[in-house]
Amino acid sequence: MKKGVLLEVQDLHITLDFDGDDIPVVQGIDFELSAGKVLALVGESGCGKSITSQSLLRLLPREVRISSGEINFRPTEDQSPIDIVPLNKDGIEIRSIRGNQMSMIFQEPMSSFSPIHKIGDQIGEVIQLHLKVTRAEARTRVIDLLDKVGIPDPKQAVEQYPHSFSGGMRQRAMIAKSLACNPSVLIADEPTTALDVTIQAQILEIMRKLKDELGMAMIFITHDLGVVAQIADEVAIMYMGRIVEKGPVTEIFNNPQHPYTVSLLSAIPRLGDLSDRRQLTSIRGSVPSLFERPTGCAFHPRCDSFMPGRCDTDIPSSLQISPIHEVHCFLHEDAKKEISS
Amino acid sequence: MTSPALILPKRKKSNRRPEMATQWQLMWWKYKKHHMALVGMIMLSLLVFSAVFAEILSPNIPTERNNKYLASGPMGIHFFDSEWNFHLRPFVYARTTKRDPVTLRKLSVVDETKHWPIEFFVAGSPYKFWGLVETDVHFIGAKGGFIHLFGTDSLGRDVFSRTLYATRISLSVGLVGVTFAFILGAIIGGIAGYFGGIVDNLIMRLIEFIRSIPTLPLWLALSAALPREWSSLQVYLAITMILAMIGWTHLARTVRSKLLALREEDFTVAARLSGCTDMRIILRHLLPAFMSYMIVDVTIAFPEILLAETSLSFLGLGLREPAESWGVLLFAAQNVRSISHMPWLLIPGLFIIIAVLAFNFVGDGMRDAADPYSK
Amino acid sequence: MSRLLRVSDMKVHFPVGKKGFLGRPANYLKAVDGVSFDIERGETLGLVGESGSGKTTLGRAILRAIEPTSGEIVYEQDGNSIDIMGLSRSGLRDIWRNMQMIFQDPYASLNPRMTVRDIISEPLLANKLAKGKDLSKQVVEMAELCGLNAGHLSRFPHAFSGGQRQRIAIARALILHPEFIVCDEAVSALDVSIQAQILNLLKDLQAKLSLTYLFIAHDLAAVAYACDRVVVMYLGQIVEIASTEKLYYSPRHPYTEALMSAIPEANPEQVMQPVFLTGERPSPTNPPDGCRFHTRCQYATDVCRTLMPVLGEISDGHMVSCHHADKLTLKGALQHGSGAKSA
Repeated sequence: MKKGVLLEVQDLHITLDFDGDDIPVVQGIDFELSAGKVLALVGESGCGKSITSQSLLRLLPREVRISSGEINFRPTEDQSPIDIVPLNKDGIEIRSIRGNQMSMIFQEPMSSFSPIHKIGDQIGEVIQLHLKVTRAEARTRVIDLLDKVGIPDPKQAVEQYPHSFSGGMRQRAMIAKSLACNPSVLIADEPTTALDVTIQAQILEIMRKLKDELGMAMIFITHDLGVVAQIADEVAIMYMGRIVEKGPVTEIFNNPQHPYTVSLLSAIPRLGDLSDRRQLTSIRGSVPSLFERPTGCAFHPRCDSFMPGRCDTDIPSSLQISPIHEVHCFLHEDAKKEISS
Repeated sequence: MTSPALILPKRKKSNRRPEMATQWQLMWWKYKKHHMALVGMIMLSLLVFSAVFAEILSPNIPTERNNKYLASGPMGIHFFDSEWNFHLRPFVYARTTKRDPVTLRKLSVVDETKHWPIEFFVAGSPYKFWGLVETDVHFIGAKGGFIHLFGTDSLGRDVFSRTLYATRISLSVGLVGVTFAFILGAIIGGIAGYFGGIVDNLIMRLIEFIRSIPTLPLWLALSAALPREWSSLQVYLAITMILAMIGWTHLARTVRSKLLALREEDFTVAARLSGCTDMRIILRHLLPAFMSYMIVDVTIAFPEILLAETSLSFLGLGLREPAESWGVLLFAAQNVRSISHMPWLLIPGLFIIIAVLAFNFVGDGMRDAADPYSK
Repeated sequence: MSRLLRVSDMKVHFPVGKKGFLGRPANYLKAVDGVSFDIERGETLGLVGESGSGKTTLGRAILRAIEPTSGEIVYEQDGNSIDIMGLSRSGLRDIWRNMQMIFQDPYASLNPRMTVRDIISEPLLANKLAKGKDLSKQVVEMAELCGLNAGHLSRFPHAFSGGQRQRIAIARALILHPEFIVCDEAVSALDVSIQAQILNLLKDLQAKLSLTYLFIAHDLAAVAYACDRVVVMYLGQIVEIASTEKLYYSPRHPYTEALMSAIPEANPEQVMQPVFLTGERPSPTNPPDGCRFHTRCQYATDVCRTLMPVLGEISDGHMVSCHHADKLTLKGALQHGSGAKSA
């Protein structure tokens, strides 16, 4: 693994077992996550971003499994990486990673807290599971964590139950829980989607602080390109189980190469366009169902640059536009060929 | 926005067109997946078939007494005789009567030398099919003799025939009772759910009051109050009404809670804004939505009413002879002597178990299939 | 522009908690608490606010889909002023031929047991306006106008994606040719690329059919795109009304300032510098005294804690409810970060 990289996913394939048939959900994705960086996995519903994040911690539902690929993870640079894929998904190795070295926060904060236990006990439980500390030490740490995420009066908060917290507070508490054991990697699955915009701003601020102060590496899953622009360092755009474009956030926004990325960026309303009232461009059609995956490049039925005979027969492989920006599209393959020939 | 982790399937690979499927088709497809429910359905169909064609299927009529075969056990059907010869047509061994030298009681003795071959669609004792059509065709009979598949009681009456006739009565009591309960429950629950407020409050208190009365003593009291001179038909109807009077509360609560929930759904608001009157909303939008739940409730209420009738008749307070229901048949088996000397009299109990199980399996399957739009 | 609708001092209070056997409420949830504004014919008026603001309740109350507790709604139709609050049930059914709604959840707003044709035909049938061939023709026309094709009509809603379902809902809302549509978070539940489709469709239809929209949403960027004027609500009351540009770039209410600064712009070079609100949003059952926003406002003074401000006009068409509106200079959206593009 390269220097600084903590998580490396190679050629990951995830399939769904539907009544005996194997339906591909994620078809060969690669990405890396380095310390102190935020990688955003962006896409619309059905692109496989959530499933990918769940697979990292082997939390896939029963009918879904990783069919091939590697997920190499090391909590710090000086440790040797372990491949998460072959681990037993209920085994002791993965359980010692979950919540400890790699943790996850979800969209719906209420669903990850038990309503009948106190917040302090629930967070303390995580600490005691993984770290060898006394109850009192755990409690001190919990109070410290709640303070770090900006919950007012943490000493009181530990004695409270989740239902007495507002949505924003619960999300902060969930972040605190995920940080309990100082993980190297935090996976955030649509953490602000269900929140009001002012609360979202506060949560994003907390996450930015985590990145800067603790050097936390984050995978941020979202469909909101505005949030991506504000929090991410690297962006991977996903469509129907494949990464179609990947690169630094400035590259993706200023120099998008894949037709899907281009369309997506011009489909979102932006404040900067208020005065000109730029017309939103929509992408025709809709995302096909998993059972009706188009041949070749999955995006071709909706693509304005569709090349018959090419895009509907072969799947484009990764092409480096620059050392840091890659795209999966035949348009550029041909362009590159022309330049080199 | 909630984005599901997977787009759940919109089409299976079979020839089905789910996008064109009505709610009933979707429910049936979902129901079929439940194997026990299918088994239950088959069992139920067999019972209903026996109930409808009881007279034809029975070798005897219930009032017929066979003096040559009193208080005797089930007659076995054989394909092989005592010398292990195979006969294509099954038969029963002949029975002759002998007098027991000690007790001087008539006994039926197996005569293995004579066979009574089993025939189908034989002429037997005349009867009126459903009280309407006069005929004497019986589905099964033994040539030259008689056949008693479940044995006879102390009066020589064929238990098999009586059980089949009883199936008809028991199932129809259940059906009529459930229908009454259904109508009562749907109307009262519907009013409570749709109008809410004080109306709902009052109705709920009434339901709670009724439910707090212990059922068995109530039934006993009500049936004991029935005049002894009433005909079996009058008693029959009265019993089903009594059972329905208790059964409607459960259905009313289901209907009410479903309605309260559905009232607030966006599509109901949209229907109101489209200009639909309350009646149109109830009939076109709300009723189909909870029809499936009502059907589930009915399949669950059925065995309850069935068992209730059986218990009442078993205690002598429900239907009485000459009407036959499973409970009435079991009434005759109430003493230890009967059970030890004529255990085959308990076979109707087996039918009760099968019926209740069948309804439960079907109810399970229906509950799963009830909301085909839930994920 | 002439006025289409005037709302005056609308209140919607929900009883909460029960006391006693037959239940008299212990408290009220004041979802909408004294709201007054006008809607101009032909405009798209945005209605924004966060959870607890009452915007959804207001949208439904204007149509009397939820009964308002008090207030006035006056609808101008063909030169007549119609008092919506005074209408009977059948009068309301008549008015609803002119005022309709599109809901947020495309999965809940269509009856799953009816075909698309039945869903779109229903308003015509319920109002006895058409039948037979004429009905079919109108349904097919409207479906095609909304981007569906005739082959879709015999299918059931579960066969369609969210965007297509929303088109069905739009067709249903428009089949009676209303003038006024309340879009209650009509695009919030849709994928990004589909949102653009539906927003464009709505704009298109507005031009073709001369529609007026009340656009309720929480996505401030979408509101900026779609709306001419915007109303901002907080805890059941209006805090500011202004044209879109004025509201976004020169807000006059501290809450609007906080909202606008929190919008994540899809531009990595435009780093957000949000104005963070202190404290928690109070509960609508127990709003604070004085200005409802004072508990979270960095500019609050004693008068804010005791006296409720009144919605007043601060410049042409720009209304604000704040004691210090004329003294404060507030940041607008995009006025922060390096290389910021300000209005």
